[in-house]
Amino acid sequence: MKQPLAFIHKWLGLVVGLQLLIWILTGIYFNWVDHRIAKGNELRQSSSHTVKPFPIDIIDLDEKHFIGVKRVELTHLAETPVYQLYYSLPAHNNQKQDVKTFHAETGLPFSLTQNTVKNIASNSYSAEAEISDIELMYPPHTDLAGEENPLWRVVVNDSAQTHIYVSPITGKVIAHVNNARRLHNIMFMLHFMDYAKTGGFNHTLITVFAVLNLIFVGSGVLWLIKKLPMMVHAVFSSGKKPIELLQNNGSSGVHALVPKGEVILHSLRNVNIHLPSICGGGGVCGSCKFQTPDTLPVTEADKAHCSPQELAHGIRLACQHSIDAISKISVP
Amino acid sequence: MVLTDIHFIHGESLLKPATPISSPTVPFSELAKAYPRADSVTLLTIAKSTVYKVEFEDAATHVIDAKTGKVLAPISTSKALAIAQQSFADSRYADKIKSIHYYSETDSPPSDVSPRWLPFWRVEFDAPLSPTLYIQANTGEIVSKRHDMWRLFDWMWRFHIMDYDDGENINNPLLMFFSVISLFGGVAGATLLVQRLRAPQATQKGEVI
Repeated sequence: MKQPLAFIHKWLGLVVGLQLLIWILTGIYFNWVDHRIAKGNELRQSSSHTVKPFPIDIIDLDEKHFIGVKRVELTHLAETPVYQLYYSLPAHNNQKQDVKTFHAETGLPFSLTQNTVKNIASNSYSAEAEISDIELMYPPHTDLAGEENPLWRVVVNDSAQTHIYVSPITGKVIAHVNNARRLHNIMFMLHFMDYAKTGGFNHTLITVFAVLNLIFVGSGVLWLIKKLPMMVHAVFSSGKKPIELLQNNGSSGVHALVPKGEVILHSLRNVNIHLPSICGGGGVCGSCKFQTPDTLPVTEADKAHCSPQELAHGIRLACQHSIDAISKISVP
Repeated sequence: MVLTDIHFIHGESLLKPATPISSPTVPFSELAKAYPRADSVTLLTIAKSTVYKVEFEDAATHVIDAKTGKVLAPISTSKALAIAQQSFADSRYADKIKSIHYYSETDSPPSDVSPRWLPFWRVEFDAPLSPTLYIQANTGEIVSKRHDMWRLFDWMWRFHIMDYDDGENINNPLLMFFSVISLFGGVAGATLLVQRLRAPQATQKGEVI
């Protein structure tokens, strides 16, 4: 592992590269998409509600009802005056809620009827809604990751396969989930690596990938910085060419800039690589052997000083070949 | 971003958990008679006192003392301070107030809070991460809680979506430009990787020397 940056970059690229592409592609989707449509709200409308006055004869809840209650609200739910007792106040509506609802005129427990839910759903849908099914669903909800409360699911018989989710606690429409929204959900799942459907990004898998990706990108940047002088040189210095000096075991080594148009033996002297030579470059002594993975012809001098096996392994004499013909070299 | 707990970022740990209400002296039925046209009447605890919050459809709000039935005046400086100190979770710093400032409906609010809560009090604690509570001036409710990690996260979000003015527009052309370039980079990198893994380095042949 003579080039740790290249090594790290290559193997991390193999591990996290696919996720990096997923992040880029899903990112482009989020950047490009119209979020109102992608969230399933193309046909969603807010229902105008008229405030009904509270009736004269609302009853007061018995004191025992207030034990452990964090908040009590007197309001209308589906045009019915109700008390709602909140036993917890979660920071987000998708978190588990603990609410009891009582009819404010009778004091009896109150919940939405299927018919009311149907009306709420239809009123939130700007086209004619043909409803084929209404059911109270319990978490986890396939369509809504991270939702911890039971929700009414109203199935609309339309081409986009819209499901309208209504909260049994507040009577409010939580979401219109149609095919556009389902695609959006998949994109979010991929972007957050949220395969456990938690609805969030605070989990170990994405943390590991994020850290590995940082190392991947960092190693790439450092590698680029290391190679930058070479690359700039290669572009701006005419008459010179980069050559890779391989390790003796054949693994990749360092790069050097050497003069073009000379025989290898002489060209390498400019970077202080002095191959042994007795005859001074005549092809007579056979001392200046080198090896290259590049394909080179075999000269008479090569044949005279190198065995057939050596020739087959790319061994030649440095005085016989131009530096222009090779890009990689290893020397004994 | 994935390393920091999003609930911590939202400042959910800055406040003490809500305390249960005590049963009101003035009953709901009287409130319903007094304000039949209200959208909702809510009984809640604000800084140890139980109050009714009466909300109307036009967003008008009254706050009424549940013991006396009197309409309460907007929150004063000392009341805002008391609310902030009694709600702050970290008792070591609860009485260390760095600054308190009132923002009226016509003021431009600080960038880390929504203008829809105006008018409000801004109370900053002299504590690590400069925790700040925003207290709605009419109701006394804590409408927003911020600290330096939230502010940092907000900037990270702007970098994430490359929207540097208000951090709200994901559909911006700058992000499209750079993400498409990144896609080219990513595909080129993947191609290089496949090539490198498929064809073992030519140099590996020369193991004789």
